[in-house]
Amino acid sequence: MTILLIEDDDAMRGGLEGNLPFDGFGVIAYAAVEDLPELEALAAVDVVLADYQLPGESGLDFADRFHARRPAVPMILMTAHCSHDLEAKVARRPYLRLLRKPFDYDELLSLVTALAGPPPSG
Amino acid sequence: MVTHRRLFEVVAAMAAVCLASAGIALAVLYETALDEQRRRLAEALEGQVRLIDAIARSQASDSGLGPESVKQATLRQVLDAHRRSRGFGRTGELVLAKREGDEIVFTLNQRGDDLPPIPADGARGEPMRRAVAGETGSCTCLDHRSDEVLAVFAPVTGLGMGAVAKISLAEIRAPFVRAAGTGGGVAALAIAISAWLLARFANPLIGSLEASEARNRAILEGAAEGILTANDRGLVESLNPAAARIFGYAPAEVVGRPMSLLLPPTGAEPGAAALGAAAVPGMGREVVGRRKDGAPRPVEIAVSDVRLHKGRLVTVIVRDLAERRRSEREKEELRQAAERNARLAEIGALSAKIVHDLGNPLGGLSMQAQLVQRLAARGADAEAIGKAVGDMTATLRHVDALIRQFRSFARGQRLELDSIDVAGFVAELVRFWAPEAARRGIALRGRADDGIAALRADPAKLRRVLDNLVKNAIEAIDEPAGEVRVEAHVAGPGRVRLSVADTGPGIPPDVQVFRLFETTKPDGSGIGLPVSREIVLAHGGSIDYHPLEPRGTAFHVELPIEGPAA
Repeated sequence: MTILLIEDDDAMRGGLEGNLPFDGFGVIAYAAVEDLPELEALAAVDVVLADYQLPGESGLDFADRFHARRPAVPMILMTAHCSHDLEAKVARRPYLRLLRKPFDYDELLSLVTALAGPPPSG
Repeated sequence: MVTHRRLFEVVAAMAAVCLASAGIALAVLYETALDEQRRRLAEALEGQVRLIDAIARSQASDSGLGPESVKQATLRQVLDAHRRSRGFGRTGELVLAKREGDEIVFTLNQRGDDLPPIPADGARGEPMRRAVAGETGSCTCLDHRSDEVLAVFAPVTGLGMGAVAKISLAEIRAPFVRAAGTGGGVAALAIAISAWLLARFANPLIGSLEASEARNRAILEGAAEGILTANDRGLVESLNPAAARIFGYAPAEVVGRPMSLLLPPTGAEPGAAALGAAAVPGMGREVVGRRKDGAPRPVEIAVSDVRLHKGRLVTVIVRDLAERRRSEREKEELRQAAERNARLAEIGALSAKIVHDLGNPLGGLSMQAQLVQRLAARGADAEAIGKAVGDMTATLRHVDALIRQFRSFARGQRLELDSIDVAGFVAELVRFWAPEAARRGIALRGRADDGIAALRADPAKLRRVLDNLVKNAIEAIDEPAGEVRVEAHVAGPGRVRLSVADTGPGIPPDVQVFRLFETTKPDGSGIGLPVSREIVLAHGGSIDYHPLEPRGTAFHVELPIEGPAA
């Protein structure tokens, strides 16, 4: 099971990238949407984990674009400052979940598991 | 319309006076004419009677006839003489008659045919009845033809008869009736002309008066200010709806009652004119009026005093200060609420920025630590662990850099020093937070020692510190009816201490409140006190806190009076 991670903060990205494989997930990590290959090349992705506030295209815009290609893939939008406006936008997208920063690693893990099912043990 | 009816009444009164005076004049003249006629009739009758008596006497001595024959002869001569005359005037005549049994039989009348006898005791022929009865006199009464006459009567003793000289009253009255008719017609014409002239000149005047009155009434009724007028006895003569509203009366309840019912002395009281000074018009004086329900009402009054040709007209314009003060207070409260929100938003925005900037690396750090733990547990090689720890160190450096940046942001800002009146500063602070405290049922009190010298500090930044402390204190209180006290004391030579004390649950001993992100509040940012501390330090002061007994916390900010050392 592969997670696509887009996060501009090095510490956050490094921490997730290091920990998730221990829990059975494959991770493809990028610091910005621009760095991503063509969406066709991401056929293996099962879950998207994106920061909302990214340099360049926002996590929300990317989520919309990605959803158009891969409607079945659940996505998690991480954000440090959450407005009512953003909450409303996320609520209108059933494929999208909001995860407020700061969060606990275990919190993230249980959310990913709930959306995508438990990873193959190993 | 009322004024037109009045005009008609005036004309009617004029007409009545004219008619009455003309009537009196005519009546006097008529009386005079009647007397004159009576005198003439009496003279005529007396002459005739004397003449008849003389004839009778001469007949008696000349002929030597018996008394009855003398009567007959005399009568014949008199009758012959008189029958040839037609009396006097149009209706005047001389009548002779005698009594025969129960009847009076006429022997001479100068008008018309022979008269039938009349009863001796009837209503008709009163003068003749009295003449044959031997009376002499005059009357206005009914004659033998039942005409109303002026009659003079006397007995003819020589013949045993009565004589009456009479003239119809209608004849005497005729000129007066004519005069009254002509005069009345002329008077009616004159009255009509004068009424027309009056109407013609008065109507435009009345019209403009009415228009002016309507205009004034519209102004009075529509005015937002209360307007009252009083007479020189200090009694209310009129008031407009606004005045009635301000004082809570119906207009009819006030008219005719003393002005002092509503307002303290305005110069409209009895005897105030004599005081002179009291009657001087006052502009924009603030006084306390009294409403119908007895409640005091702050009002601003302007008094004008106009001397009329008869008495005075005192006009009082009343502006309701209660309403104006209420709206001013509401405006002020809105402004303060907006200001509070802006301050909170400012703190919120700063918090959000710091949370965002530091939230990511700190969250990452926790995961990096977890990773190191996992790597170690799996027995990973030293290189992998070393790399993970290196990442952590890098993150820590990043966090440290952010905090330095933030500190320098708080500290590095230049202080804009000014002179602060500490007591005023405390009062303003309490006033500002009072609505919020009241909303939560918290008593907020402020007190400053006397004689605290002016403090040299940055007013806006110091205010931010105290805002933060008071806000924290208010939010800390977890029981109903808590208390927050803000106090200013002299803390030693050249130092002032500002304290904010609450009756909240206190701060747990393991929390270090001046450290970033340390907070005991569920949705606190942990930034307010660190920023406050930076500001106080920048002023060369200190900030600390200690628990209170039985419960609560007091924060103290100590500052040098002279400001930060250069």
